[in-house]
Amino acid sequence: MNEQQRLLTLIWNNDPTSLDKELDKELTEELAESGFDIRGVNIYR
Amino acid sequence: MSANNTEMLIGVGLRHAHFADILTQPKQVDFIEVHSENFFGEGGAALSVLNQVREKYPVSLHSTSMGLGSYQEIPQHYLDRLKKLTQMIDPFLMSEHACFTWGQQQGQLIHSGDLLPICHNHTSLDRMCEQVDKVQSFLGRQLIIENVSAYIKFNQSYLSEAQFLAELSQRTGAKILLDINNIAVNSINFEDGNIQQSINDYINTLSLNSVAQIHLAGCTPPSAGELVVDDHARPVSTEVWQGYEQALQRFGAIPTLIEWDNDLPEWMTLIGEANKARHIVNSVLNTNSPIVQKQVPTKDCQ
Repeated sequence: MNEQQRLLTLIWNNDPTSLDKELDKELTEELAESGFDIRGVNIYR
Repeated sequence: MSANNTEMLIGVGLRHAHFADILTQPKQVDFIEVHSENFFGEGGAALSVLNQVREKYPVSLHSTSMGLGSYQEIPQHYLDRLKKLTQMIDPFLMSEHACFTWGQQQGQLIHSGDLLPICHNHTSLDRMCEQVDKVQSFLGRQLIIENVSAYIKFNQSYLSEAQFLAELSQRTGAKILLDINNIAVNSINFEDGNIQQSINDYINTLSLNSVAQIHLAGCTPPSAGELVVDDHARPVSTEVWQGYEQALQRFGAIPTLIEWDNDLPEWMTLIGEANKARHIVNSVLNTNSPIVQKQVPTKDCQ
């Protein structure tokens, strides 16, 4: 998966209603691996 | 109406709330810019207004959905609509963003609905050059590519955005739309927030003849610890006006647009921002930019 598809999937697939709750482990690891700041991902959601 | 001398032009972005003003008020700016996709529909009131505006003002078509940096192909139906609008309006400038918008989810083509940032490396650059070449050829027009506000950065980037755009321009013949507020936003979000230094570094990376348009806008200050979002909801900030002076000193007179998209002000407030830009052009370049001489006071956003 290229970096664009990875970002789109992150934006698309996670429940925006849970953004203020503690992030699940898988998503946290994915964000860290991608170098993304959750604040930034949230802005695009 | 065509723009014969594009260098000294000051314009504003036209939004729906100002349709009546643009048609009834005396001419107070040199050109109008609209978002192309808002006029993709066949017929209707909006297109009728644009055609009337076109009789009075040069028009710049600013696209927001093309996604020139997408690895995914831009759908042909999008390009067909843009070409049709281009042929109807005959814009004096056509611009888009250095971003991606198209991708796939579960095998379906999707549009992000936002200007998503691209990785600044040569894999991404090669792809964007390919797309820009294709679109310029299809439309028979030169594109102007805008730097974007971003809220994430890719680990794989090793070029600065300015280096990326400089090489893109050199390879494709496309020009650069320099959005000074976007540089300021990224400076705050990703750098040390020294906006003047960020702007200086950016503009000094671009060749003198590569910039064809400037965008100016203001945005809402963020809460503590949050990223600043480029919401185009405020007057142009003092820092961005200073950056505009820096850009004029480096590139000379460039067509300049005031953008305002949220919490829209009265038409005359928007015109006041355009007049402020004109005043700065005249002051920095020692010229006498033609249309409006009288200053309309505006409040600064800090």
